[in-house]
Amino acid sequence: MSKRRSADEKLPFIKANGLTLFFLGLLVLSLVGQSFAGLADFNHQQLADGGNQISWLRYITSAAFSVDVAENWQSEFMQFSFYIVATVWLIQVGSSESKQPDEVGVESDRKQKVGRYADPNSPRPARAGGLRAYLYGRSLGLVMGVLFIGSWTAQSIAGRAAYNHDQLSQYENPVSWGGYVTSADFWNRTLQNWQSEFLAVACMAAFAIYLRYRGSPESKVVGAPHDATGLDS
Amino acid sequence: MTAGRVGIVALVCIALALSGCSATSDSAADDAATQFVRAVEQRDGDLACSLLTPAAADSAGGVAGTPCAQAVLKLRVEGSDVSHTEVWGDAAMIRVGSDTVFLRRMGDGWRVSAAGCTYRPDRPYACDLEA
Repeated sequence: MSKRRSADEKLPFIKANGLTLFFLGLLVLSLVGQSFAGLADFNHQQLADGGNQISWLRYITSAAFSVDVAENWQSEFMQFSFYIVATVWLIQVGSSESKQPDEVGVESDRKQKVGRYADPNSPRPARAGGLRAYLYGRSLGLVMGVLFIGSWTAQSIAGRAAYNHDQLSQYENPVSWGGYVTSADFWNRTLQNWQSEFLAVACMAAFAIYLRYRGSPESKVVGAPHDATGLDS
Repeated sequence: MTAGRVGIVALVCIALALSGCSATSDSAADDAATQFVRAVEQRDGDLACSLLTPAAADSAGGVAGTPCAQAVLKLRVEGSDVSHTEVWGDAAMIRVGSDTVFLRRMGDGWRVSAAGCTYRPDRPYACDLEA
């Protein structure tokens, strides 16, 4: 353990954080790409509606861009928060994504290294025990959940603004926030994202029973039997 | 960076992105609507047409090809007090006097895209003049 730790500390920053940095880089590139594609689409619609063409800067601060970003963000955070919590209680026999059947639940303090079972180098809240350990022990799901609710709320606010812009462009009345969150537009945007997340999660849980990707921690080892559950098999 | 800080940064990003997502009151839009209605009331067709969007001015004459300055004077307007304003992005709806008008923000300011509009449930307003 200590040898592994000291080896990790010697890694260059970029190598030590390559996974996070790689996906953050892809996030930025995708957002930039989305902003230009979205601007072209928005300006095309403006032409059809008799509106003015807008600049890139104006577009990336517009409700139209915000709602398109937020509706995708909320579904990703929803997916992870649900998956984190669901995998505590639900298993998939044979999947690398699942715990063993006898590990269902939040597990013991001893196994989770909480309170008096904590290691000297355990995070401080885990060593503290009590409410701090309780909250820290659920912090990954809680933060994902807060980001889900935050971005879903953001979707509702930006979506209402974009929707009302379209309503006025088509000579129709704008709607209240309450009217928007019960509208077809809000739920169409929401559910079309949710269904794709649920599909991806279900596929990942099930495919990981029979399929492998050599070297990936998301996969069982290549030679592991199909009925072996969890990554240690 | 801790998970908590990541969450706070993400929520601040979301809040910043939403900064342009509320309805705004825009006195320039009110002024354009008021000016348009007054021009019609005062039978100043040229001024009224100059306050229309290009598409609305083009369609004002209808299939008969009546000049915009004459066609726009067929609108029935009464009063020029603004009673309600909705501005979302570059589109606005203003109740001015007895009329409901829709506007778009063009490069040189707000212009009327539809006027003489009557509310219809679950359908767009029926407008005597629209782009």
